[in-house]
Amino acid sequence: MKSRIRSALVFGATSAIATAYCRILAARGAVLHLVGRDNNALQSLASDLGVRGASMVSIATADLCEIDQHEQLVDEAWEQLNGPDLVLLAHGELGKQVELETDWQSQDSLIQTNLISQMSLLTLLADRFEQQGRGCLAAISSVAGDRGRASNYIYGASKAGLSCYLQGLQQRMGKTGVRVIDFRPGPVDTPMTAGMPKGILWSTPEKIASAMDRGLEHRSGTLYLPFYWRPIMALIRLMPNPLIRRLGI
Amino acid sequence: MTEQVPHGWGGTSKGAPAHTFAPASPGDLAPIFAMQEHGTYLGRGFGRSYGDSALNTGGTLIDCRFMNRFLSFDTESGVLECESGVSIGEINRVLAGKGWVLPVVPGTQFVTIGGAIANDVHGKNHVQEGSFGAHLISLRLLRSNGETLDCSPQSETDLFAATIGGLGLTGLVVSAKMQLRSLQSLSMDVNHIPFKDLAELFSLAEKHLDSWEYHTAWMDPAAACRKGLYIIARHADQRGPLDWPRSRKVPLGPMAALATDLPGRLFINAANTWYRRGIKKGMRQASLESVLYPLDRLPDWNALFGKPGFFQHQCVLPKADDSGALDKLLTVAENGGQPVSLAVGKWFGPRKSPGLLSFPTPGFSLAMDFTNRGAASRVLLDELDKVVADCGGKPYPAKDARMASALFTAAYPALEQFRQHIDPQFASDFWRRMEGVA
Repeated sequence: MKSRIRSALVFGATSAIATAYCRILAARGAVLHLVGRDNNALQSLASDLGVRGASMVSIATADLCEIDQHEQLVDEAWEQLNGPDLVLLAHGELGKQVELETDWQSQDSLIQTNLISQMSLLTLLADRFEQQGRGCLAAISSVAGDRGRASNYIYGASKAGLSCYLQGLQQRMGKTGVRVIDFRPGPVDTPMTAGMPKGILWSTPEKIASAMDRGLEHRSGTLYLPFYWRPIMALIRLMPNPLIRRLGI
Repeated sequence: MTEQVPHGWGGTSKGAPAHTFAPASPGDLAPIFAMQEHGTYLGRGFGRSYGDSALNTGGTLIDCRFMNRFLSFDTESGVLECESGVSIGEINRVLAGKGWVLPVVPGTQFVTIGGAIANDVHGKNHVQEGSFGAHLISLRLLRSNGETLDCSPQSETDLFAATIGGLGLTGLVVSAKMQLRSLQSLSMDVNHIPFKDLAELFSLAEKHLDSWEYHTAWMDPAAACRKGLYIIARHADQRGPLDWPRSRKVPLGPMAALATDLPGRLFINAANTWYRRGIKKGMRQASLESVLYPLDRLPDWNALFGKPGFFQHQCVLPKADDSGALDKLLTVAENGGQPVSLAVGKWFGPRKSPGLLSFPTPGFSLAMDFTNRGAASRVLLDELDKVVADCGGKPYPAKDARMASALFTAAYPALEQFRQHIDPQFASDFWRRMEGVA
């Protein structure tokens, strides 16, 4: 099967899930433009993708919380890729719930990273894609946004906002031929979750990436990763608050 | 059912670190090392060391699995440079298709390059190719004081030698450069030859050691490990497909929660019976994956031993024939009152590793698995160690969870020299056990 995605722009490319997905594209000889915060890590990733078969990899170093840089970043990427088949927003942070609860500064910065910067990028990208009339716009949200829970409601709020935005955007793009995907992974074994106890519902970046790959070829809308989170979250959304409290989930 | 506390592959050693970090790239390490309150450090990969050599109770564990980028690969010379968290499986998946593989691999692909260096791992072809370290061109070591050192046979030679087989104690290996070998095909010629006693095994080995590259002995636990199959293999020399197979994995993980090893033992007995009766004897072709990584289809085979876990005893006996020591070792195992689950023999050749604490030395290496039966197992393993000590043999730290430090000290005379190169902020449970530090 020939992939529909031959060029991709990836924000937060050095994150474990984005890296795993870029490797799938690289093995097919795709052209990639990577944006990330850590220049050394980006360079290593570019070398890695080159060894794996990417046709061309270019990089741009940026702190995506600096919103005024977004326009230039998107311009640069469009020039490099001549209008990508895919844009993936994969940057984000988890934060520490206990610290976040009492500290507005860090809540503010988490919302900047996980929601505001994504909304700003999506504003610019939606425009481009609408003109282009094709392609796929995807972002990595989380199951954490499906229901507020004491253990992660601030992270959850940022992801709920993102998911809501993507849902609306998908509707807006409905007739343009542009696909919009809201990926909602469950917990994944990555540097972001180092040291957390891992249970049977946990997944790996490689498994998430190959599930994303299947979705990115054809689907649009909300995709839970792995698939089993869809029924689980449907159930959790239906649970009354007292039950959630008693179960401690 | 959650994996709360890091443990060794055998499940008999556990150790909760006070801190765990998983750097996404080597750049994340400097800030980790800069913090005072982290105590001692230790890198960890896929956790395939059997005992406590990849545990750091109360200290800081650095999960290296995400520093996993290929940095360069020269398709002409076959020189690969990659970060230390790259696994052997990943190298196979990406580069076997281009006709390149690692010249020396352990029996599983679930090993990081960092782990392969720290234990100077060996394969079934030690007689021809030596250990992993013999093919290492250079490595980049990050010390806890923030220094980055490029170590090779030309520069920082002492640290290069100390790091190969250095059990992760000389600092954190962030990347390494190594020589791969080219292959025409991923298929192998294999020959399973039955032997009736040890004398026959060693006369077979004498006949084939020069002409075949890979040698192992499957030793039948039902015959006190004195009968079995001598298995030889070599890479097919005609051109063939190089596509790395996507083999199906059989998950056994949930069996780790069982209170007993009984179902697992039935499984293992069936596997041994298959080797005794079912497996096709004589010459045939087989895939590289099935010959070099026979257990990788059962990625969590350690779960067969249930909650009790298991011990593996692996040593090298300095004489590669059936003289005395091997016979004694098998006799002790036979009279130990508990069954051997799996016994495998390998030959080590004279090719020297640069590593100071490298395990392989010329001789015959025997590995035996025993279910953990508490004190009884430990008594048996101590008796096996006595035989090893008496014949001037060596134990393998990567497999060990309980040996007395006297054996380690006696078998590794370079220890004194090694100690000078340890990073003062690095330690492991194994090391504290050997050095007698609580």
